[in-house]
Amino acid sequence: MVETKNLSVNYGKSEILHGISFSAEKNEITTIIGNNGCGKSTLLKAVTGILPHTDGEIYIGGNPITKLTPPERARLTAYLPQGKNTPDITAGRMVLHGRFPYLSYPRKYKKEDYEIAEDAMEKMGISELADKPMAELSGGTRQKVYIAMALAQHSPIILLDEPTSYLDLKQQMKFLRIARELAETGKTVILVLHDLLFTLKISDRVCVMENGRMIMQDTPENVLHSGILRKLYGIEVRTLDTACGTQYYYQF
Amino acid sequence: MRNNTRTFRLLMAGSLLLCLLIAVLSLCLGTVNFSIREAFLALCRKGDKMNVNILKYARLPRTAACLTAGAALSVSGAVLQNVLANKLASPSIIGVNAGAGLGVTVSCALGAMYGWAVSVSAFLGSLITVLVIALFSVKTGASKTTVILGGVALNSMLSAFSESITVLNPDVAVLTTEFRVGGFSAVSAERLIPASLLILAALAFLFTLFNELDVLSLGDESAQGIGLPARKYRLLFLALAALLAGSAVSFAGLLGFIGLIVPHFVRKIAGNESRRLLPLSALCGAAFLTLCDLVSRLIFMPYELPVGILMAVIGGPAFVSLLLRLKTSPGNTRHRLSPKEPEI
Repeated sequence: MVETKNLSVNYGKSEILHGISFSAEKNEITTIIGNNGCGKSTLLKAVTGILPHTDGEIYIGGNPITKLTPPERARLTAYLPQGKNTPDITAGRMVLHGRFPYLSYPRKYKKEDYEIAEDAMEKMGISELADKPMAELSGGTRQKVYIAMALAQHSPIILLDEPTSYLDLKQQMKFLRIARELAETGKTVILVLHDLLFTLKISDRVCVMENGRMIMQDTPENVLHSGILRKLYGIEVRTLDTACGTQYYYQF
Repeated sequence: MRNNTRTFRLLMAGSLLLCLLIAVLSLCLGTVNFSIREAFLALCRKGDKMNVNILKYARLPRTAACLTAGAALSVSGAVLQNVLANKLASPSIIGVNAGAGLGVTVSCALGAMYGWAVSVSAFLGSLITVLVIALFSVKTGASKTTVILGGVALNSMLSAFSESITVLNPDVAVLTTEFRVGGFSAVSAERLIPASLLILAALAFLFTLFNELDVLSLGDESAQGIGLPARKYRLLFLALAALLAGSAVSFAGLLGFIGLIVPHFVRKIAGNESRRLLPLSALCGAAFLTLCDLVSRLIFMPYELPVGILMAVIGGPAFVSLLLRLKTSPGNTRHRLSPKEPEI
């Protein structure tokens, strides 16, 4: 569903991504990991067309990204950025703007858009906050509103940059269940995560980045057993087989 | 999500009625007072000829000018505040009005004193100023207070240019006291009509872009993520805000503070969403400026105070109070523009 070939991206004159080839399939959760500044967020921005690429190709649902208009791209990909503004609008209106790519000028939301936004808020457990201004919400609740907005976008591909930041542990678990449900309903889910245990537990495919290069793409088991995590992070991740399946833990 | 719709409709109806009431008072009261019936007859060109002339050549253009300038400057302020993510922004404070003033001065110095030439020059002057301010805030990642200070500096520079042109070319009679502070005593149909047409067109277009303006306030990455070309729309909104402010300045002079006070009042009663903020700002701005003009011409009768002086008396303390409130409110740095935030 998402594929890049030899993708290079520059910030000004310096090249940040160097010839990245990667793919993410539907029905799967693909998680990108790597140290800070390795280019994970830049890769997501390039894939959504927010950052122009200097070389290589990007295909979204089989279409070259350069052939898609901004609304067409937004109907195919929902993107949750890492750094976000807190706009002076209510949470309900914010989620409703997830339907923006489906409107044509003069853009007016229809009954169906309101219903989809309400469903997304219900899924994230924030229905009662619809009339609350964003500025009055906690960081975690705002994050849930942003995720609900991405869900309301109803796109086949969802890219979420550190979606679990600001969320407490219970909400993180809930979100990861939602991510799994989304993948099972046929969506391509691409996450950027820092938590290796969550990554190994929920991902179908793990992409490891270092200094703007993709150094490994494989199943969580193969990534774990390759020793690349030890090399990259200097920590050991161990497994434990339990009645609930394989569990992961850090060895200090 | 739609709970507040009823309250908003009531607010709109109330503001519209208030606006009409103040407009009628503005037509009827002055050095010569008319009853509503006399005013109506005079508008239909019946009754006393002097009454007809007073209404046709003085009261009607003046009231229309107050209504359009009030609506234009208030909406321009609301748009600038959203686009620059800065609640202290308004056309007079960040130098947009001064840019328009320079445009009008240059136009008059070149011999084009009336009509479309003045309106277009004012628009170009305000557009260039707003682009300079936006570029300054984006490239330097300046805090909102720095943007305001930069605007104040630009304001002084542009006013100095206007003054210099007037000194070098004394025939340019545009920089009268009334133009400098803003006022409507000498408003003429030749300047009012083209500027009003531009204002009405800009307002009509803006009122179809509520969702775009709100989406833009989510930040560039989020806006682009849901399909809005943020850079293009930011430029479009800045151009529309400049068109509104520039057109108003071309016949009302350098009126201050209305673009700051009115949007903040409306944000308090109706919230920050553009679909409510912009139409209510237009109505409240029109009503407020017309009321201030009425007060300024009645308060020291038979002498008349330029309305800009009254606006400054009200607006100065309001600006300081807003500054203090923003300084003490938690998380106000959130409105700061990061260096890589809005791209122009």
